[in-house]
Amino acid sequence: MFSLSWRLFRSELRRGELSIIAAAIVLAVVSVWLFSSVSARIERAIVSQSSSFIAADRVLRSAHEIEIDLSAQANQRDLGYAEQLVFSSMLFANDDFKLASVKAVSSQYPLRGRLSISEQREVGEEREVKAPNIGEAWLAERLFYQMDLNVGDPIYIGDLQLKIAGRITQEPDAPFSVFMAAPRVIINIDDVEATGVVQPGSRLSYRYMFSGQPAALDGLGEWLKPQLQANQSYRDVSSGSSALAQALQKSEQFLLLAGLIGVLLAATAVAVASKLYGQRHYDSVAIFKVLGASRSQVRRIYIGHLSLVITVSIIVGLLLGLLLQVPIDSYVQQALNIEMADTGYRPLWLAALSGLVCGFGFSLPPLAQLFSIAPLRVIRREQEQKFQGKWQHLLVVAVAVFALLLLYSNSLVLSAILFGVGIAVVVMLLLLGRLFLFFSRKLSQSFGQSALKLAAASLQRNARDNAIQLIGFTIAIQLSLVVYVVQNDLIGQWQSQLPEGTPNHFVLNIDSDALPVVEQAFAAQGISDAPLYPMLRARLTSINDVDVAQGGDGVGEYVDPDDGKQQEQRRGVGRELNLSATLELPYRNEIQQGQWLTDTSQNSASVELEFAERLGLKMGDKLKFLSGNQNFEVTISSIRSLDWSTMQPNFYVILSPDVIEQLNVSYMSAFFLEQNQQVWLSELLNQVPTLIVIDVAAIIGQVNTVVGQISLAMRFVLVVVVLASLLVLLAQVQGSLEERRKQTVILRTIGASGALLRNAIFYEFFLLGAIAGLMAAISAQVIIALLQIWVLSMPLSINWMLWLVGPLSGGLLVAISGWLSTRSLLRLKPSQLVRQLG
Amino acid sequence: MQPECLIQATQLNHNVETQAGKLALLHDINLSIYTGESVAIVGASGSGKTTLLGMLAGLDTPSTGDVKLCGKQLRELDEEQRAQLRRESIGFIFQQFLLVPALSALENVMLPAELKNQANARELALDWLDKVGLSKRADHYPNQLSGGEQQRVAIARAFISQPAVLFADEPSANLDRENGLLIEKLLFDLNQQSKTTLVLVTHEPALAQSCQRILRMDQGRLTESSEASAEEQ
Repeated sequence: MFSLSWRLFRSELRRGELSIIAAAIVLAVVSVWLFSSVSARIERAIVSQSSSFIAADRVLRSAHEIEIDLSAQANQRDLGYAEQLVFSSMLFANDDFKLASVKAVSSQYPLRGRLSISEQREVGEEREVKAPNIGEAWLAERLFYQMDLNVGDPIYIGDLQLKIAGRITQEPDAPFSVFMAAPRVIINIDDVEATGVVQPGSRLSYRYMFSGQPAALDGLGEWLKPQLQANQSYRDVSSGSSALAQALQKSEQFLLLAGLIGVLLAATAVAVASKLYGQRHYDSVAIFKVLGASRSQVRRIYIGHLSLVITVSIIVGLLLGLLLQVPIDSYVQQALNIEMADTGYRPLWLAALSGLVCGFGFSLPPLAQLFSIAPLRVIRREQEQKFQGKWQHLLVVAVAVFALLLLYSNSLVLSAILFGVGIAVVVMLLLLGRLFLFFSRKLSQSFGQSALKLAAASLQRNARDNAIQLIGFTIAIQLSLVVYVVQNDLIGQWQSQLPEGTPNHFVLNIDSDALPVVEQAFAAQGISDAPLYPMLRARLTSINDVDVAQGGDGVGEYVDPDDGKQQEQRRGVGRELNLSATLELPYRNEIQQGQWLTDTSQNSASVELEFAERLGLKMGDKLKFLSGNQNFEVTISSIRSLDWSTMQPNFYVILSPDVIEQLNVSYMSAFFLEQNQQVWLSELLNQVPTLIVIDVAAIIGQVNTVVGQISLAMRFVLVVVVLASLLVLLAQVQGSLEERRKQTVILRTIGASGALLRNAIFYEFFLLGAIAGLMAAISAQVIIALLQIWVLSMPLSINWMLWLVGPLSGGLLVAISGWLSTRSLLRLKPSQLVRQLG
Repeated sequence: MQPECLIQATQLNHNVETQAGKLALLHDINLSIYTGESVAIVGASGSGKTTLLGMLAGLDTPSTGDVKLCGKQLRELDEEQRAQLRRESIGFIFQQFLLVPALSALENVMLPAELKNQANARELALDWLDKVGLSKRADHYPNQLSGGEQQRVAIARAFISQPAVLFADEPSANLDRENGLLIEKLLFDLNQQSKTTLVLVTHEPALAQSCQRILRMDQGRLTESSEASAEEQ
């Protein structure tokens, strides 16, 4: 029987009858290949680029020294290894002392990113370095001004004298907390013991750093994690909640999501094409059966045939993927300015496996229907074929879809959510489809034009088939719309969080005396949009006169003996807070409850939403604070939400200005400074040595780079998704051609003009496409809203363009595909049509 | 010696469910067809000719009653056994030719022999194509052949497995008169040569006259059974 399968395959291939199913499987294989390899490469490249911000690919953090020989482990796994120890210590020099944050590093530090120093106190030539030599120290710029130091001067940390060998100009893993007050000193880790400052009980932060191949790093993580304690963590740059980590997490979600949409769409194309494949062979199978073919013979012929189709399509898909990968890699590499990381064989086997799952998973139901075609069909073609086991077949398709989601996302939870949403969407579409078709009939009764009437009547006559066809059209248009909105709007929205001119420097610790100097310096530099926020550190002592307990380490906890749950909610919030006072609602803050502060507000406070939720605070609650030795009480007059990823000064609690009149406050601000204006900053620091300036330009630059790279990657995804959509549309239209052929014969025979038929077909497809487009707009809007809320943590937005683009593009695309597919039919004479029908 | 009864239908009734209710397609059909006989089933459109042919050939199962074909009660056979019976003993020719579009003329003719796992399927098919005058069009696909040529391929395909009985459903209805006559002649010539029992559904009196016996159908009932020569008189 295989020779018969082969002959059928060869002949159908030559006659182009397998083109739709083969193209669908090829597209599925190529898209999985490209999505998985290109997205993985882009993601790895982005993470690798961003890894410079933690000076390594992975960091094991610990509050105490780890006894495992991590250096040997790293060696064994061919990984780069470095260590650092961070602690606070007093720095003595020139009969002065300052609290410094000392970072002691091993000789390989940093493994990623750039550490650079200048050997001059003022702005000067800088060079890239590794760890300092034993006996040497590099200092943050402000220490030079605050302690009047120069390169070459001696300093003391504990018992150890060190020589200043340079001024730190760039530290890859510098903390970006604007409230980190102590300036940095970098020394060699081998000097730590001699300082004598590290004693049992000292507050230390150990960081064991690794770099190398992702698989080896993951392997080390798997080996390490079971041995880690609660205060130890093994993380990469995307872990945590920093702006960069958030950007990386979001980029990962965007890529995964886009890839999944592409894969689902390619799978839909295979599903539609498989149905078409089945329909095309109904007659042949009936003939085989009439000639005496047993069910098992038919099964062998068609399983052999389909296996050939799938195998050849997978091979073609893999070859095409291989061919396309070279120019796409080179384009992406150039466009994104990244080094493409090697992703191994995963994309290859994932693509091949997806081809198999798609091919067999979606073809088995139509194939099973083929096997059960009755020989009677040869004389009763019009008799509707009743197929057994529809539910079992649906189950096979569902399993195939789920397997595909799981294969691609590697996440059971995400697959389950997408699968559930998918099922709900399909059910909704089925119902909506029938509803729309019902109304189209009502509408058709008012159509005067006969072509429109004919089109609406035809839609109604084939309502059940059309409802199923509508789902295919809708899914194709809907997924394209989702990717379009993600690419266009959501990424744009993300980009707008850090617009051009976002403050890239924070200046803190501006006391009242320095305030006019700073204001003058700002004015001279033309910095006008840098509000100065008063800032005071205070501890929350009571809520509504109920005391907040103070922990032994200075961390306070609110205690309400009657409510254990409330106590749990309020745990860990009692540390010292940075409060501010202003009448201007800060950037991207939104009032959720109450009224924003006005000049008539007295003893009032506006609190941040999450902070309020964590503490169980509500409007009108009274909060008592202790700042220095002064107590003050405020009443909550508003609750605000805010966007932490804007890199702007943000405060949990903002007070009405009257509160701080009697309190000691310093000021802070954030401003944008061009890279070439560092001299002005040095001069300002020289004028006011107590200022703390934190440069976040590099991290903002990296976040923007990540967003730009993802935007470009999404454009590529959009192209593939649109291609897959077109294939789905074409396959769907092809599937309905037989019915249309019959209808055309009848209408031509009774004298319908070519123009009438042409118009009727165009209107019918346009109506079908427009209904699908409208349903696609509805479901795409729902999906986007769910993504915004649950996945991307973005504010909800309604995209009105969808409602126009959906129906219009759906109508036109489907009408054009329909018109192109039926064009040849309309050119035939009635006699030729009759003969084609056989 | 009394010829062997090859097809016997007893009390055949067939109903289908429609939106308007139950529709009776066949009423109390009783008939016998003997080995080597050629029988025409005639009647107006919708009289139940093709339905009866489907029942006699085992393509469909009657609501009640039974058909005995080549010594086997069809109701007792499952789908696989019926397929085997068709493979070994029955040939078909249809009005719409029903060639597999993806197979060439030669491959179409080879099909029944291949399904019977005959090793010489190709040689046999070439031989039968020669008999129907299409040996030069062996590699052509159905869409490259005229209607008459397609039906000749279908005839070759029907005869290749040397069936005991040949069912023909309006074999010339889709052809012009000239081609129709050619096909009818070919069919009867080959039938005579192979001594196959022929059951022919037609609404053309002239074609029916070529058969030894004519069965007339009217609204699902067998109204008349007559010898062709008697009809002529």
